Amino acid sequence: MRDVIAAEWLKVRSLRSTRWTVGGTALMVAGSSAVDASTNPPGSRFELGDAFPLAGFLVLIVVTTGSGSSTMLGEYSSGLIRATSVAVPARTDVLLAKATVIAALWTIAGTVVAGSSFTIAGLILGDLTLSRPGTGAALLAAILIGPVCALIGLGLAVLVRHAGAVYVTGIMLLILAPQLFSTRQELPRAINHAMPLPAWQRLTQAFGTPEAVGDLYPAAPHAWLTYVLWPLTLLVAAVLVHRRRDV
Amino acid sequence: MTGLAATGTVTGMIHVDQLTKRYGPTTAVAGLSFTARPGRVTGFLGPNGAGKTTTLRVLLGLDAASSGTATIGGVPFRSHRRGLRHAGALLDPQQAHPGLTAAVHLAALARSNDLPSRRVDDVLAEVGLTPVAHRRVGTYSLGMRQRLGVATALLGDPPVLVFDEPVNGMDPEGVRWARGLFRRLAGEGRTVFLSSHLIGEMAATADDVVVVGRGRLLAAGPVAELTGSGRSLEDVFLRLTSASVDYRAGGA
Repeated sequence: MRDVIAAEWLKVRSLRSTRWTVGGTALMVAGSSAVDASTNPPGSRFELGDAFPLAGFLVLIVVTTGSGSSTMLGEYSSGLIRATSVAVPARTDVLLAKATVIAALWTIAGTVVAGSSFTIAGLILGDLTLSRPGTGAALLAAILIGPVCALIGLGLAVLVRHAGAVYVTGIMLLILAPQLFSTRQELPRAINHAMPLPAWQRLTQAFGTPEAVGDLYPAAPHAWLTYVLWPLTLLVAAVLVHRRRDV
Repeated sequence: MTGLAATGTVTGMIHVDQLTKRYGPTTAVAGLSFTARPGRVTGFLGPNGAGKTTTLRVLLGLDAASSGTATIGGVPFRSHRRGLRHAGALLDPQQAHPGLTAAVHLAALARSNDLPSRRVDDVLAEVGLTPVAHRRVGTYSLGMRQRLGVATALLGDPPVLVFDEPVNGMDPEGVRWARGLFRRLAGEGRTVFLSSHLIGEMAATADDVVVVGRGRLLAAGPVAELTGSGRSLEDVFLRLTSASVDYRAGGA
């Protein structure tokens, strides 16, 4: 398994687009954090919401979903999938190696992105501290949204296969769906609360007792479960499909 | 490279038995059986749409057979966890990421099979791509991509080599080089299985031929036997396939 992981890592790190994507995204998120923090009314204190601004992280979500999906879409569109599948007939190994590499890449990149955006907001507004309740969880959730979305993108790429449809499905699922399901009624709220974006918002922006947070966001354990179940379910489905399908 | 394995199957033998592959309502291969042996170049001939590429895809585990079997060395190729030491293949010149260099493309494949990295330099030199090894594949001509495909196939030093239309897009020097390479690989005891439309090229390269049309076997045997009594391989091919050609100029 280590051999295939090393091979996939070599492919990913050798593509120029990887460097541009990671660097560009880090700058966008840090910039958005700086803008958010400096446009707050004078005298306002450091708030976690400023450290993890929605605008910047929406970019991160879109980019990481695209990045995860393109590790597979690139194989399909270039025909590389044929060479890869002859070299490694155990197709599950290839998919798990890609998942490992893309998750590791965006966990490291996510740490840099979330860390710098937290630091920038703290420097502008002052009062930067990790000891406030919820801060550690928020930082972790901001780091992990990258690998979560990258794995969702990878799974969708295998299941849907056509690039355009993969991107549309990804954006529908991650960004538009939470807008479509209102939190005012029970069923739409349940769907809304099962989506990754509300989970990220709950963990990075909404703090306090369940009464204080209200029905707007899922409970924290529920949010963490969403982080785990979406990528896991899509990856398992992708493995099952990829093993059987003609490539 | 050759030799009898414990099961009595010759190492590196390609064996296709009653193979059928359907895509929805279309039957691409219908009950095809043939054998390609070590130490020989076997040509795989047939008109467009005869099922050649489909057969090769099933043989290499890219597509699943609808029924029947296709084995290399007595086992389905997909039963291997890593493939490059068992068989090498050039199925399409488009089988490398345009954003990667040839050196990285080959290094990644070598790494996935735990092959020593010097194999990358060896095969690049073998196909003459060493001077352009650090250029991105997206900048390669068709002939260069074919050479990269041949390099990919040779990477694991396998006993079986499968090439689908390998000389497409190669210049005359490249065609001659490929012919010499295929002969040499067979001379080393490997099974060389080669599909092509170019009958003249096949007549000059192959020991045996397998001729298919509309997914069925039309003829198989040594070139010398098929072309006995002074007929050219082209004459034999056209006579065999006259009823299996899907597209013909002039509406005839």
